[in-house]
Amino acid sequence: MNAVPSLGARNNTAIAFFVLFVAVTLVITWWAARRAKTTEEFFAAGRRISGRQNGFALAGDYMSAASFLGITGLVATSGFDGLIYPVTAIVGWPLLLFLIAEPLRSLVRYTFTDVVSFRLRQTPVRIAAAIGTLAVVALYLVAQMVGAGNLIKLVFGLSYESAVFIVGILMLVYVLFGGMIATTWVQIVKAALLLGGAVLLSVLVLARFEFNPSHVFAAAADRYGVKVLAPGSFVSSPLEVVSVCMQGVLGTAGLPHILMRFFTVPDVRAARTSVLWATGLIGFFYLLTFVLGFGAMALVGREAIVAVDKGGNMAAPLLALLVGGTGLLGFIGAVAFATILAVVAGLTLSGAAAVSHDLWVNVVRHGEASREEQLGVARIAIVALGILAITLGLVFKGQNVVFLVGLTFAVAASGLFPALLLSILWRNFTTAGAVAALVAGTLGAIILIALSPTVQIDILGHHTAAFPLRNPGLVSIPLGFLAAIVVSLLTPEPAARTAYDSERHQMAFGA
Amino acid sequence: MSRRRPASRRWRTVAALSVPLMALYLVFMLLIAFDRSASGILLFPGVTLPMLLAALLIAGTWLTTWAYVRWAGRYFDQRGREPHPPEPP
Repeated sequence: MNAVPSLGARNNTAIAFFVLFVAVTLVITWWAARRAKTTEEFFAAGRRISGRQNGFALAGDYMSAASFLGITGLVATSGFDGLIYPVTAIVGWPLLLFLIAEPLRSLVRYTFTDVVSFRLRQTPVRIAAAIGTLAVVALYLVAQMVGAGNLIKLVFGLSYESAVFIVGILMLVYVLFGGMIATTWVQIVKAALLLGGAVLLSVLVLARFEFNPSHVFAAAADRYGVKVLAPGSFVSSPLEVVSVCMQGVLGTAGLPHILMRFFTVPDVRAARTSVLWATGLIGFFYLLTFVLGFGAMALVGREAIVAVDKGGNMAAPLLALLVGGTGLLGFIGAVAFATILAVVAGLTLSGAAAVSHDLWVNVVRHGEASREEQLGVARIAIVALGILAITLGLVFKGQNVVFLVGLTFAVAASGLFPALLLSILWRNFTTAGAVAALVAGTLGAIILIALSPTVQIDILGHHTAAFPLRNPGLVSIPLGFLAAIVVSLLTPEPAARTAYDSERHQMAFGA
Repeated sequence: MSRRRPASRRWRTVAALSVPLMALYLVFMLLIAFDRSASGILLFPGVTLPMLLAALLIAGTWLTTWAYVRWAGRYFDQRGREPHPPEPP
């Protein structure tokens, strides 16, 4: 069996499926563009997305190509260690629901910065939170764009550059004209496609193992030894495991493009329902990655996977080729392309909301801006983010950017999450405390990763690294909380306390 | 009925639901972080304890969410949409 030569050639099935996806999503965008005339429509889809629809959209935002290709690849090459990520990624969802989602929806707003700043002095908090948001968005965008370029080169046989341009331009069309309505529906279509593709692939794999998942795992263990089913050496130290777990669980509750979805539903009940749907869909998908990962290990083999892509990202496409031929490879490739496109659109919209709503309207204009002006600034921001995404995608060509996904979660968990959580829960939280959390957490995570072995040894080629962990969460998350608490206690703000008391009732139950 | 009561009922429910899930996750995390040898024993062909825990955690996450959504739907429905307007001082 030699699957490799089929990759990197032009795959007409993949192109046909992808063109079909683009055609459907462009019709959706055209329909959405006629409705997205007000800021509420543009940023929050008119708050008319149902709980189930939002559940699919949340799942779509969360199941990026990194989960589909990355986790399958990691399980296929590292065995059990690859499963740490999906488990960690889903366990944070009930916390997101209990601590953040309900209060967030209760305070009817547009961005999570609105919630952080609702009882604090607007200008400093909004500037700091918008910078934190944009840092997360930019880091995640780079990881997605480079992933898109590499994937499309292998599956579609198009050049890296043209792939980056296609993703950038299509994303611009969706977000620019269709706003949140189009972004949500693109996400729903993609979530359904991704789940359908994963189910189809899993069924074809399971058909070779008497439809018994444990036979798949046993076959992988037969080929590479039983140690692939146990924790291995991928995560190098116990502290590293704890760090990965902390930033994965808490980072989920600080991702701006996920949080923004809770403003698109009509009420708190729908917000709860959407989390139920999202955890169901994401959990089911992650259970399938057990089968896909070990299936790829048993059927395709580690050597063949690593020969195509050192990171293992081609495990799922290679598995599709093996069990379903080039037709299935084309379908899975198109699904992965659609996945990247939809996630990039969601990220760009949340970045644009930060620039337009948080920085322009509330900081520069002090809350007084016409609808035309708000949407105009948002569209300028979307174009700027699109150009930035394409440029960064081209600049980082050939770089290993997997660590950026981890850094995204670390920044979200260390800066945005403490500020948001304390703003919702802690009466004595102050403006200076919020700014301190955002600055210390965000900068802490970025500086620590710059000093980590990932950057110092793997990228710069030095022999030692000043900071021993590859995942900074263990240090940067407590740093964010500590900064918030210490600075708040040092700078009492009676006005913030009074405003908190008058809003807490609404936050606890929802209007 | 006092203003604080629904909030404390909500926090009690949230705690009762979160603690088992977080405890299971902590066991999972500590097992893979500190006990590599014991965690490699096969429970039955193809499945080790950490793998079983991983699957249980994914299922448990959904069950926890489901239990809360059901509780909240009933609890807040019984009380109506906006049961407790803030009392005047």
